[in-house]
Amino acid sequence: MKTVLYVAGEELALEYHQHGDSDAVYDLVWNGQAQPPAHVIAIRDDTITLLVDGRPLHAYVVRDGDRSLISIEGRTYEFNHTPPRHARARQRGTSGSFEPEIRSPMPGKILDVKVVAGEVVAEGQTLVLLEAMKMENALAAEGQARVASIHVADGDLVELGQILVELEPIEAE
Amino acid sequence: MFSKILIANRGEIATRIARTCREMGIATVAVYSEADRSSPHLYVADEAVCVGLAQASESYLHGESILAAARRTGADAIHPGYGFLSENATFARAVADAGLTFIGPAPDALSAVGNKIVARRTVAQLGVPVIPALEDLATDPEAVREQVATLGYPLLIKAAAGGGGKGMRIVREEAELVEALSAAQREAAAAFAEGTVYVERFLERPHHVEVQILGDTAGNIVHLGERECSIQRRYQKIVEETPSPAVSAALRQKMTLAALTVARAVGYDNAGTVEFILDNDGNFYFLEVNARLQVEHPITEWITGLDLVHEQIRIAAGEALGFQQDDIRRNGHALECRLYAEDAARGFLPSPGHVLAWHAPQGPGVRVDSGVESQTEVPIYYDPMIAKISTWGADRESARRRMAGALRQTAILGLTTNLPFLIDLMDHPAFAAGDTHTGFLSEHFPNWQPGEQPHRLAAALAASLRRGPHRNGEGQTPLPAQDSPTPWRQLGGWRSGS
Repeated sequence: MKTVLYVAGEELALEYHQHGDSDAVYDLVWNGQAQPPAHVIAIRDDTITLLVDGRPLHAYVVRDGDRSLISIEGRTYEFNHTPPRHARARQRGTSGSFEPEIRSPMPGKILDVKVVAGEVVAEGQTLVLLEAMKMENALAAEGQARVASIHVADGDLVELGQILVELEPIEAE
Repeated sequence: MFSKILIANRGEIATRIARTCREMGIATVAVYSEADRSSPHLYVADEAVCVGLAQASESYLHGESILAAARRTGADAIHPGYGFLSENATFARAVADAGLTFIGPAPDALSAVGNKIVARRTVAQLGVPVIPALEDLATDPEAVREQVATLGYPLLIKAAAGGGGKGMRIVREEAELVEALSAAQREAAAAFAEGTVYVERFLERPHHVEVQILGDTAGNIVHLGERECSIQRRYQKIVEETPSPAVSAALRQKMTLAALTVARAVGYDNAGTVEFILDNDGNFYFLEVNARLQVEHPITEWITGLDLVHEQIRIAAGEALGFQQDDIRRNGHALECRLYAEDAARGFLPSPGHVLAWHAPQGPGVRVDSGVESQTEVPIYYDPMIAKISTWGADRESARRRMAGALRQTAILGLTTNLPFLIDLMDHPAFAAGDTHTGFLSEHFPNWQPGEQPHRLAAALAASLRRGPHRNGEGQTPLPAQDSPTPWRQLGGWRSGS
């Protein structure tokens, strides 16, 4: 069997073949590289117990539409099963990334728009103050940029994902 | 004793209170807002009443609706939990006027400690140290600038009617003062309907230490030791422990004596907490009294063997404490981690949503107080704390290792939580060394990211072999041998692709 999984635009190829006559031992090829065989100890409705590289692991698995969410040892892994519709190879929080559209991370109320169109902002500079879940949340620029446009005003109620501010990157000198 | 208690709260604390009521043979009434129709706190109670709209001000904070629900269901007492109406003296009086019992301190004691400025003055008169502060701020920002110059920077702005970190701001230099003042006033007004703020000197790297007290209506009062609550983000606690690694036996004696002095002076009864800030030279200063059950009460229960909710109910029913200070033994060490629906990699931004899967840890010395279940919502309207995990050990290191293991056993899928952050925190050498202070997270985790994903291959294999229960009942065809929902299926006879 071969599956391809997608993480934030990255493609991960996994081949898994049953090892000889064994029901529960799999030979693995991970992104073209052979891996030590894995033992599949048990598959249940929402959990799988594996022995990977000799180490027993208990995985909680949930399928939500096209994505699979897996929790192992308190850490969450998320994969998509089909390629992303928009080939935006962007990963949040990694160096070199830049998100030009500042969207509301949750429904809430705009308390204060701290910038004006055309203004040059520094990395980490607060653009908008959003009140949600009883707290003030500062939404900041991820890098140096120029404010291209502003779509909200003080007091506006905003929805999850609504575009608040658009930025355009400035090349570092 | 009461026959029926209405629990005026939601989430984990409502569930926790209902459990004790059930053990005491007392019937319970849960209340819920329209956003909480499917919340787990409803089905641990004997009755459930909708008290209004999703916004807390129209439901959990709406005293009249809560009282009406109590009357309608024939409850004879109201337990307010923490937050919401728990420290509202007006509500406590209204409950008493309606002929019911408010499970908490007497309204006069609530008033005496409710306003932080008033409490500071009362406490200073008792000879208990308070942090240098300016209580009467001018309205004009320029005048404030001159006023606070006498205190010096850094400063801390706090809400007079405060709690939970709302309306608090650290000001490191004069240039930040005006903006911080207006933000703190706005936040305070939104959270407490009272925008008054004051300014105090900000201590660097202090410990936040609090003393649990318990008093009956006859004036007997004891302390149950201290809790260290220094690990905070956005001025809200995320990890607590008892005893405090920073408090020696001699210091404990002084701090608990000060706490009892404060409690006696205001005629305090029921459970309460006296908060102090402790500097690195062993000087402590009174901060405030939390006149309620604290979020972190389980760790005190771990080491004393007492059920604080049980004690609260007995005291409110007029019973005597039944034990004295010398009867209280504190055994071992306990830790609590608060699980929040928030993104620790993005400034601890709340991340409400749908919980697809929830698995709580278990084992010796592990306790979970949770307000979530699989397939429930974490609504946007309330605090993003969804569960508390606490562990006990014979000593601090045993409790810490147990916590590190318990967190790795925990699974929550569908929304972003601080679980991986808590794991990294428990593993950090400075935490293991007990070097906790309120600046710990900004010092050691200034730009935390989820980091390594050590079991990515195993996760990918798990995702490929078993795509799990579908949220919407559609999607990929399951692999052949998995079409029946038999649990604990062993792989015998299973053939890939057959």
